Amino acid sequence: MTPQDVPSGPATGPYGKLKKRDPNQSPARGTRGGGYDELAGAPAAAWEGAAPATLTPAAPAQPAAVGAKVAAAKAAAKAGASSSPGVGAKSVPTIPKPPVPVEFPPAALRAECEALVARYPQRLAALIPILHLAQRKLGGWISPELEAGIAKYLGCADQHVRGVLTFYTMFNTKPVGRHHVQVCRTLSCWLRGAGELTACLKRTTGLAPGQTDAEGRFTVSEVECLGLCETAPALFVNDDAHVHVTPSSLETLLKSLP
Amino acid sequence: MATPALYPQTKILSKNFEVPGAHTLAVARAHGAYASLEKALKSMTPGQVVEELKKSRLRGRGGAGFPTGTKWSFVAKNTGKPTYLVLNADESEPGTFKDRYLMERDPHLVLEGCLISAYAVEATVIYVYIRGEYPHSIARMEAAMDEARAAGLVGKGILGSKFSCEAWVHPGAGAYICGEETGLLESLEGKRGHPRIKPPFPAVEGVFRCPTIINNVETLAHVPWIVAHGGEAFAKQGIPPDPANPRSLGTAGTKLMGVSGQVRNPGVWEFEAGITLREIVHGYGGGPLPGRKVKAVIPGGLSMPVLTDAELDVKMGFDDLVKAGSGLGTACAIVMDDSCDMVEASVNIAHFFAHESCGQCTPCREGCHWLEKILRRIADGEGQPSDLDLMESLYKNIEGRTICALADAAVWPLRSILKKFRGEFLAKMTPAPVPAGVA
Repeated sequence: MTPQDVPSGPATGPYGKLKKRDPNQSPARGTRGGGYDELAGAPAAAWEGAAPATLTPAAPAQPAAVGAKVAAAKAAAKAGASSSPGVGAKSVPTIPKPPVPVEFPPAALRAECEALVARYPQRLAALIPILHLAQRKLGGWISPELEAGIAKYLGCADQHVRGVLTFYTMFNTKPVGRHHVQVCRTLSCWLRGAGELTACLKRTTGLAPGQTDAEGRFTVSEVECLGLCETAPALFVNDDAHVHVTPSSLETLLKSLP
Repeated sequence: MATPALYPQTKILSKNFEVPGAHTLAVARAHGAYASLEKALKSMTPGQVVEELKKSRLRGRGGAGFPTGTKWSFVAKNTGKPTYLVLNADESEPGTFKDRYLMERDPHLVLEGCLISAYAVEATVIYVYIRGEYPHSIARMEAAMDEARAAGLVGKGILGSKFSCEAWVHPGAGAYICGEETGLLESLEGKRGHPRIKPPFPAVEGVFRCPTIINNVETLAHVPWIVAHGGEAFAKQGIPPDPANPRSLGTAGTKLMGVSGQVRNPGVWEFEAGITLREIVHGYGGGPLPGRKVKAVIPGGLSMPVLTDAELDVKMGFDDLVKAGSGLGTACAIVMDDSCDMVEASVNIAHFFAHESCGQCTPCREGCHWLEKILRRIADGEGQPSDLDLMESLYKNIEGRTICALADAAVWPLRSILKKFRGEFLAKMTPAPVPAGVA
């Protein structure tokens, strides 16, 4: 569609073939970013929720493309059997238009981004540091438009950025609350009562792991080992570690957060 | 707390842990930081540093225990490409926090180790890959690099020598698999952390397709002491190689060892290798919580087979623990007491590996999820005795059939828990249904 879809960065790496797997498709079950249960359309939902206007059919001339996604999918399934015209009828209707990239980096971050890129012999290598920077400074999550902007800046495909975003658990592909409470659930913390903390969060904020409240105050997540095992159970609120947490100290902490 | 009978601590890496302000250059230098770097740059050739490392018998502290000097000697020379040194500070192994102590409390020791190592392998850039969950370590290491750069210890012509080397921190973003060396290199290149097939090994073709040496934080933190005191002095410490076993390498030097989970006094200490796991769990760790008994211990991180309380009289050494049917791993033990439901613990472990599988190899991507689901079913009281055989068949089809060792790491603890606590699994089974038509 656009020149960006061709991997044009200097970094091809020894596994060019693997790299071409389309990260834009919903990931195979079991890939990082979610297990069976969490996966059910989560990345797609984030995409659609962020940019509903871009969900226009790419081939409006074809009758199968008109209407809701479900209808389109049904029609597409039938099309396979009844040989309706053109190969496009099979999958095109569900592909959203690429998001319009935002200008990246904004003036305030330009110097910092340039410095990050200069550390590496290949531009792409700065991707993870830049995603961290963008997430910290530009609203706490990486929107599809921001993702496209970063891809343009680093000279790689949007899909590559999306693949990286969804692989690493610290990047948010949905908006998060002002306070992102991340409870460690791995063995050492679990043995010392991490489960009680998750239950306490559910009781006090009404949020299960993965949920954000309506006013955008809290997001609750369960995460794997934070490396604070000697002070278990531990949790992070944004970047701040809290250790030896008990349900009562957690309640006090939650009340103190604006 | 400490009784006279305790195995003595030997503070080499941890000598500055309690020193206030040891993370600043001034205090670190007052305690001898960068003296070894100066010695190496002014009086040793890179080859001599590598030789000292070989003599020291230092083995990698990240879990695999590969001899460091040997690894360094593999680095490809005269390729016309730059050589990189990558510090693996993606301490993502659960229960493990030793490298965090080093980076937060003595970042200049870590940086000095990196610089000497870079000199030895003739690397021009150091990337310190720190897991994203360690913001404090990242800040400390970056501050240490900035101070060192300003003092002429990083950059062009270090300490007036011809050796130039840059150093940068590269943050990870929450992926266990990036602790695997080639997964880390992929991540450093700005990609998903999918481990690579070896060979080529990183020493020949690593990051940016250039020769790369990648070592654990604790490993390189040993280097300044080895340069100052010589490799032989280091090799004299710890557990010597077993003369009866020509393949034995021993466990030379000191090692940071920790304990977490259900013990009174979790923490990390430094010992000459030779302390037993019992002395760590029951001695320094303070033993089980009041009124409890130790039931199972994973000696290093999450990825090693469990040992029961009766099996704890094993020395914390690479070869010794393998002989005992487990492994040293990261030497940070996780203790489970008699209140712990081993089936639920297995679910927790299986969930970790299912979540952290990178999704590249089918046996791991599918198998870890299967294991979690089967274990969940058993824990919920819906399992059947045949599930245990099903799990055993899965173990066989996962272990050793993937690109990296994550799948093996998932199998080992789970299989050993099933073997040693089979009764707990069977106790949760519903009676097998009687087939239709029978009775």
